[in-house]
Amino acid sequence: MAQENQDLIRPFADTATDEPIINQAPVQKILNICRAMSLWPMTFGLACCAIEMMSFGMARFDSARFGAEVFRPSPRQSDLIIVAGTISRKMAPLVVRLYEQTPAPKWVIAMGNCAISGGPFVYKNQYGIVEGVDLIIPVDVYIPGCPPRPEGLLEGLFQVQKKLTGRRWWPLPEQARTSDK
Amino acid sequence: MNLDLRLDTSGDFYARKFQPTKREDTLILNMGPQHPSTHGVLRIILEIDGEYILRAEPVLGYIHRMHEKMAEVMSYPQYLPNPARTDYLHGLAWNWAHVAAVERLMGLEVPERAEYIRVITCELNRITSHLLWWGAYLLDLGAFTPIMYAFDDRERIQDILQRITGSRLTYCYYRFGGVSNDIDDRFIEETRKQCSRMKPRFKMFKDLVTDNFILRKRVEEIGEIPADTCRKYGATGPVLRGSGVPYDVRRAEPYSVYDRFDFNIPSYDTCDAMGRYLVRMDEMQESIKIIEQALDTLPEGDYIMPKAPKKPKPPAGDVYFALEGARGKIGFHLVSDGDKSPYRLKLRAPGFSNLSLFSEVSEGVLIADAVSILGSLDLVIP
Amino acid sequence: MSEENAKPEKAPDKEKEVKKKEEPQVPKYTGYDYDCFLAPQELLKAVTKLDHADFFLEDVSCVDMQEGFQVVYHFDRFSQPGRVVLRVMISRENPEIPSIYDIFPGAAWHERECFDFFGVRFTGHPNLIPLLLDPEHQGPPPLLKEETALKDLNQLYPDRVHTPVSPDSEEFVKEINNCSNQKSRNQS
Repeated sequence: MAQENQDLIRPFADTATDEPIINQAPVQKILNICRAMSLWPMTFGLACCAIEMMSFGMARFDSARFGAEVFRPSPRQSDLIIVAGTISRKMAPLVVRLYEQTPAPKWVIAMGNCAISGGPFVYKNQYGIVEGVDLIIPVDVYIPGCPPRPEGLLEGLFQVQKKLTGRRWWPLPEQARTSDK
Repeated sequence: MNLDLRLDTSGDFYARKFQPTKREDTLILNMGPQHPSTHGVLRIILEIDGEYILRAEPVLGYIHRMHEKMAEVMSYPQYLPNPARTDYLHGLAWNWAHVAAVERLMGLEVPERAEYIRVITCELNRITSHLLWWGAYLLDLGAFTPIMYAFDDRERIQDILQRITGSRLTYCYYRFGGVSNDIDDRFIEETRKQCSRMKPRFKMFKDLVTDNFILRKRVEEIGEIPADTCRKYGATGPVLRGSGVPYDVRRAEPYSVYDRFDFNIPSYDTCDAMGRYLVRMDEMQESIKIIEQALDTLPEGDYIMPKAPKKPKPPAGDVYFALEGARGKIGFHLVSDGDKSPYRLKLRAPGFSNLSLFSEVSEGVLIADAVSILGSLDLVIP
Repeated sequence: MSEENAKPEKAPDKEKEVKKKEEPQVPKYTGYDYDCFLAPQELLKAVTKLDHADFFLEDVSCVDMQEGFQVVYHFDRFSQPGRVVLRVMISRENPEIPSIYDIFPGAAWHERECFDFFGVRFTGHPNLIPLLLDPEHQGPPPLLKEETALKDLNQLYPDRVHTPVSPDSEEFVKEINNCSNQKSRNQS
């Protein structure tokens, strides 16, 4: 209970995790595919990007099609942290704490320019924001944009799945395929 | 047994500064900043007795992004994209307030067509903002389906706006002396189509949600805010109109061409969350009325004044420009020293004043009702 | 008026520049319907009068200038819209001003915001702690200007009377009662 004993402002989140109970490659591979197809993102809206994150889950873009349906408000029930928005210095210790509360294995998406580098709010001698969420927690996928379109977030989700399983599960959009040829 | 748990939980700065009531056997609870119903990052320190709130104190600043300081550092055109990020749900209104404050200080005359385009796009944006509020509010109250309907319409409007403004959410469309590009026939046609599509939808929303007695139990007679409390705290927008004061900046202090349109200002004197809910639902229909009138009477002409200043240098002095946003009165207090960047820019965010009455309203209510009250204030925390 | 602002054309370049300096542009309507300076000790009296005249508080803001801080209070009215602005000058060395929290509780947060950004102390405020800033913010308040960048009253508000008005005077009472944006717009 005594919060004053805790080090609230930590330079970087604690990333140490225990070894998996069954540490065998084939088992892990199957588990990873299962994980990739049922990622539970955390509703962690910080600013403008949060609204696009809502669109990402709603009727048109419908992230449920790709296995990331269940938005959980609690870090303890989720495994994908979408950092959607500007991290002010006041918020930074809480972002670290939320990251540490999330059970491993966990993945982090830095959504939008603010989460990547501070975005439009960086100027000389700025006093209020953290210039990039990767200064305080490890990040797996970066999605640029201010804010990124929901399609961009979907693509970011695919990249997380790719990182987990080593392959892309969903076809490329028509245009991307034709431009490749 | 006098077991004062509070002595152990000194907590962080705000928890230590929190002044609890003198009652015994109470619990101090932090709601947020990571909480689904706080819409963004708001933290409320609650002192509760069982399920009842004795004292509530919002703590903000978790999304403070230095807009006022940035205005002093950047020049006028560099600051153009910023205001839309202050209130990301009704970005065009903020964009408008910024350019209009500069125009007012410089005495620029905006072409009529540009004013009409501004009215149309701003009202479309207002509808998207209210739709999102509607969906998210009901989501807070435990109804998941309405937000799907809300986003269906919202995405369509965003498509229309995106074609013309170039962005989906954080618009930067208005320029000093006009707008950045003209609207075309396709825009007009799509907007008309969307307006006629929306009208029957409101009836459906009413049948589906508003008349639902479960919703009514959650919002009726919850969070009563008397009109005088609104005045003392400076609450505006739907919060004020839900308390029976038909005050709307579009009518009270007409800017742009709003005095040419025929629209009602919905107000309900029930003072509760239901009143605020109904105001917003009616307001969307009024917005559609305004859009249709503006489309009918859209004049020909320039969409930006021919010699619009790219890098304005307003004369020394200060102006105040107020404008009706989706959440209430937006105010820009601009002090200029005749240089290329403002000497001081003060933004009046409506959500800021509206939220400040929360601690008074929430005294003695259930925690579940506090969520309903918070949602009905429609907050975008500055 | 608009032409003077626009980019000057090639030939009459200098002429326009000169013209611009001679005739400073004055905005038609500044958004203020009654604008006055007050002495700090008379602020509460004036605000009480505004409260009785049914005004509501829009915001409290602050401007850092050579003479000190100018604390700006904006008020408006529901029944007969018209904006009243009260300006109070306080010194930079000892920035203290009475809090209007007791009259308008909504001012509490606006005053805390001014305290954050400028370090203005509002005496009588019940809870003057950082609102928007991180409580562990290091260094001076962020919106303070550097000494060299400060401007004085005449530079910022040319052609305006800066002598304080007394809230007891008939003029003040008359002005706030008759204040209306309709009227001042028609005049301009």
